[in-house]
Amino acid sequence: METYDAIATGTPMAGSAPMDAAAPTAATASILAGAPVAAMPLMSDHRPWPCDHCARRFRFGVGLRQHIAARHSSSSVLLASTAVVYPSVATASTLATPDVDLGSSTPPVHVSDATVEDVADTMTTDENVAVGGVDQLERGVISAFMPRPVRPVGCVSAAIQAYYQSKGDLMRTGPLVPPNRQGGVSAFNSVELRKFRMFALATGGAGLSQTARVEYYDGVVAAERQTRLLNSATGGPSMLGPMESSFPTAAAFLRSLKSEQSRCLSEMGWRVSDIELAGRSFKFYSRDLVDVAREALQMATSVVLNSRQRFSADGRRVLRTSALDSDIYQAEQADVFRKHRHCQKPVFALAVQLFSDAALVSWNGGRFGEDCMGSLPACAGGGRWVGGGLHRDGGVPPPLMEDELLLQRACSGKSMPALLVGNEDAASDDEPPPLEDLHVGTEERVVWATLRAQRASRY
Amino acid sequence: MCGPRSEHNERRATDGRLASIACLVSLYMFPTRSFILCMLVSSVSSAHYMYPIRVRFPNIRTGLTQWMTVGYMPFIKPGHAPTRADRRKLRMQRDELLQRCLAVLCDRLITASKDGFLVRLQQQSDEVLAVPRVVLYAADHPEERHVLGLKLNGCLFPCSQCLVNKTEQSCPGAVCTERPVLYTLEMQMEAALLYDRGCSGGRLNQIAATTCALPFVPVLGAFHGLGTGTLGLYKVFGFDLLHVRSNCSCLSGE
Repeated sequence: METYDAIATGTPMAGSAPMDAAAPTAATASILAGAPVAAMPLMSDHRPWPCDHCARRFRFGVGLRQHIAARHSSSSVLLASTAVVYPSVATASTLATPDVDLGSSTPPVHVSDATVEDVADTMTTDENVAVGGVDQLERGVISAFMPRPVRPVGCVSAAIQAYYQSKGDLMRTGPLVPPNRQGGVSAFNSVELRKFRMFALATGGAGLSQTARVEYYDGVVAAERQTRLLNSATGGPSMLGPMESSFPTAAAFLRSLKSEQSRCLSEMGWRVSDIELAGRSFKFYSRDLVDVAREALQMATSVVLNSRQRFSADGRRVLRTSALDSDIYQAEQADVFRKHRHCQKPVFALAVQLFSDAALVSWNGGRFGEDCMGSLPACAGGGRWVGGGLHRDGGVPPPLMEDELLLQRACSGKSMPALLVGNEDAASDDEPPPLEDLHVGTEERVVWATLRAQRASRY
Repeated sequence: MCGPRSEHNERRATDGRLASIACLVSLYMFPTRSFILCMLVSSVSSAHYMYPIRVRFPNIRTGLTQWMTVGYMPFIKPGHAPTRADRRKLRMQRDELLQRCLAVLCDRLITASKDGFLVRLQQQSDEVLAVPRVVLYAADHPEERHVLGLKLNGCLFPCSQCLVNKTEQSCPGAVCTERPVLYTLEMQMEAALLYDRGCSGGRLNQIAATTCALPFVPVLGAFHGLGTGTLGLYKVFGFDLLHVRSNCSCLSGE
């Protein structure tokens, strides 16, 4: 949070340069810190980029670089590149923390302790290349028009995390369920009641509506009463059923379901964040990924802690059958083992796969029911675009079951055997199908023609 | 994007999960419009479209092995903006919202990707240190560009993994130099800081022309292993089976 505070307020950290010293540096620090314009110390003429070689000031850093390249290119190498180094040093004052990893054995450099030359001296050869994007010795040669990144001293990943923490979204994150509704005792304390609960809350994905829940309660209670009458007629035990004995009225059943939802959401750790953006507030519902991972690992009975690369029988081919023997996981695992080699406890790399419904992110704002366009250069005889099925959304009625069956049948040919299987291993254990198999057979053409005709008649 | 036999696709095929569908990577897919799941949540004041984000841990063999929903992201509907500038601003808001949601979601995981966290397993008597690393972000190409903070079109380098020029991307033997992760992230970091202050449009254009970067820095770059170490930021993206199946079923209908 130290980094966050420094970025959010633009206040120099302990041990860094005071705001009145090194005016260009301080000005740039304010720019990088996102401080309002009025708070910048060097705004007397509204040009925050001064030249160190003359009295000129510039509104933008690009102008300053052009000026230095045109007017002061004969100056010393380091002086000619001060405009490039200033942002780097300024960022160091705000982002360099003990947690920031330089990627080498060099400790973080604070601005107050070092001048520009000192900063350059403390860096290794690789970092000299990295600062400003060019080698220190070639700075006077390379054109000043080349875009050079603002190089935060330290790990760029830490800078990115600090940047997003400075937005304050985490501060506006709280539990989805208010504390006064958390931690209740579940009234669904038997197997039958838990089945009632599951049906009411999970049917159709989002569960039953309020009206349907009442109707469901009435139906179950009516069945229980009828069973009790039959039992009493036959001399059997005459006692209330599980639903009626636990929930005397439909309202009690609804209330219990409501409290059950709150209890489950709080136990799962759902949070809600208010993300302020352009004057609007967006709600973002999420869970903590570390908690999710910990819970999943604790519930698992078999966890792969160490995965090795596999080879074929002749030893000439690397076998990649799942995510755990893929190249990227192997590289990450080696990196984890190397970084935590001094840890006393067993270490393993936990692979994380993320997936969001890309269709909404990728939505280009088109109208409902457009074709999916695809080009199949390998098997469609060139790079032409072909149109096929219709994608569905909330504005279009869902397909009939026959459509789904037809879709599955169309896909279940030997052309794409792995794609129908919903798990990763089944898809990746097979060899990739040859390109010839991607040609559609006669039977599939018939199926697709039928499917298209059905859809055309509907839409 | 670079042709069926380019380095680009070979790198993609290095992920074991994608190896079996390597031939499908050469397909040029572009779903112009598709909805998979859309929740309409009615609140007191307004309505929001939301879509879920899911996570999976392949290390777990028995237990919670399926995709778990860990968040519902708000979605700004495009369109209805009168001018081009308004539409551009809307697109920027969508991208920023996506990044900030990912930042909230992954904040502790980012920290854990460096330090790890202790967990007690059923199969192990002692605690073990789990160090999470992102090995896959299942997305199609447009979402990949959004998540990476890169321009979707109107840029010289349309490939997310390499710097092949758009005029050569379909040519056999095109030169594909790998996209530098740290350089691009640093440029995006600078662009994001400048964009937040609303200044230096020229510099933003310069950065956009050089790296095809939007003025956002991708949150995934904060993960250790993606923005540090093995620098696998541009290698973790891949198709998910749902998209491949959906789109290829359309193709087989031709």
